[in-house]
Amino acid sequence: MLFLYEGPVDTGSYMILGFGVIYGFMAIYVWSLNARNKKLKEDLKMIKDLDK
Amino acid sequence: MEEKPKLLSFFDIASILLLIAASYLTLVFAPQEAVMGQVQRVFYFHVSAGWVGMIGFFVAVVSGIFYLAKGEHKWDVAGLAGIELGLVFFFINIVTGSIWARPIWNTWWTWDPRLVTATIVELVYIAYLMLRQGIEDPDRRARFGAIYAIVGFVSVPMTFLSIRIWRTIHPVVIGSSDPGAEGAFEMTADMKTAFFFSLFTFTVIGITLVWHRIRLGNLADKVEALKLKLM
Amino acid sequence: MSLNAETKARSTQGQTSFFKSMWAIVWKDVSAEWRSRELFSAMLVFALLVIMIFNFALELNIRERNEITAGVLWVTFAFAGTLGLNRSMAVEKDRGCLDGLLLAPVDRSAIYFGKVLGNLIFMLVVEAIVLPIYSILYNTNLFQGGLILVILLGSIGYAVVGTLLSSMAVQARTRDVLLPILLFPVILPVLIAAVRASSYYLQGQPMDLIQPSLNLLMAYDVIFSAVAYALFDYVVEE
Repeated sequence: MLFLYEGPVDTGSYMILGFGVIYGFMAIYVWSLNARNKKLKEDLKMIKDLDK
Repeated sequence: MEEKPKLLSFFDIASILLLIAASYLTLVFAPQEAVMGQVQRVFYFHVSAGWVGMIGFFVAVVSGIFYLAKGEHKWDVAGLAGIELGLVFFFINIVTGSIWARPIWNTWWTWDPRLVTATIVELVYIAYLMLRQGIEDPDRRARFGAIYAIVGFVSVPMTFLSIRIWRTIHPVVIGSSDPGAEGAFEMTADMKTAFFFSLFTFTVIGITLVWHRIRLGNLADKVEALKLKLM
Repeated sequence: MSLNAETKARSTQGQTSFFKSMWAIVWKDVSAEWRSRELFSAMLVFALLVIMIFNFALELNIRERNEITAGVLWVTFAFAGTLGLNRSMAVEKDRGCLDGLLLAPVDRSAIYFGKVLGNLIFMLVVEAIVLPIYSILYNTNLFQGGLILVILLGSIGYAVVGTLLSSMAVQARTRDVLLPILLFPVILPVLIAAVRASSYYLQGQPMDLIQPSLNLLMAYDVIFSAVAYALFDYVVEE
């Protein structure tokens, strides 16, 4: 158990990776919701235009 | 269903602010853990993500039961939204669990009951989506989705128990004598603050996202209905 | 007084007709299968092939083999079981039997339990043949009471959930692939507990080690019988 002597392990890069995953995938999901929403709104507009 | 309700806008802003605050608490305010170092900070959001994943599952099951009982389409929209939320957040949970394990136990995967159960739940979600994809009739799709969500939900606690029983015989974590306490560390008061605040933050984020997803589902149905009318 | 007697008679009649219908369905499946034996032979051949593949894929010595016998057995049963479930339901759907059954004045749950019992019988027959063959091929005696019990309990759970899920899967476009995808995440408690209990029985371990797994198997069977019984109606309602 090496770290008992040397203090905590430097795991900073893993921390960055972890938080990157967390923020990243939440952002991707929000972006996905947004993109789908936009596409549907466009479809809606197109249908309404066709209807006229 | 066009107007975005004011409450939802409030939730949007609250989610962002809470996330900023929670990030500060977990990254700066909480003390560094003595043994694991910085990567331990991932733990707060890792657990919170798992919690939101379970909320998603719960939403899907309750919606499923209501759909079977009442047959109202809105419950199906909610069910799908719940599953999608669960899918995203359990994925985050699993990946961060793996990232946390790597520097600590020098392995990308530990057969920790919670991690394995999370993966199985993820598989249930994917199976749910594949089931829905394979069915044309919307009513049948909704019914089958509801049934599978319920079956899945009932099976998961039993899966967790069975893995726990299995694990007490196969401790995998090197150096850990208590198989249930993988990754255990003492939480100081500041850490507890960060932890519970993160849980709260992610709950709010979860509610916000599922609400948006439900609105999206309703909009999709509306467009689908209009398309059919045109043809 | 006579009214009581009448309602009592009618309710026992209702009960008899439930079991009658259930048995009718089991009999239909089993006798149809007995005549053609296609499903059964497919499952059996498949099970034997799986055992052969394990033998070559794992290349174990005698000692290691004993440790994983339980695992190999249960993987074999799980995959052969999927075959049986798929075919059993597909036949119903393709020949329109299911619709016919549903039109009949029969309790839906009788149909469900009838199918479950039929699937269970198929599984048990295949297992009954695989066990002696495995025993011979690997020179281990698999005919122990405890192991038989575990196989029975595990097969019940498998059939109960498998029948419900296959009745849904068969109606999807991707029917053959879909059943294992739906079934395996949900059947894991059975597989894990059954392998554990089987392994312990074969190694002659004490009962208090085996008990938790047996309890889990029994709980699973009971809980899912109730859940599937409640949900099956919703699969077939139109």
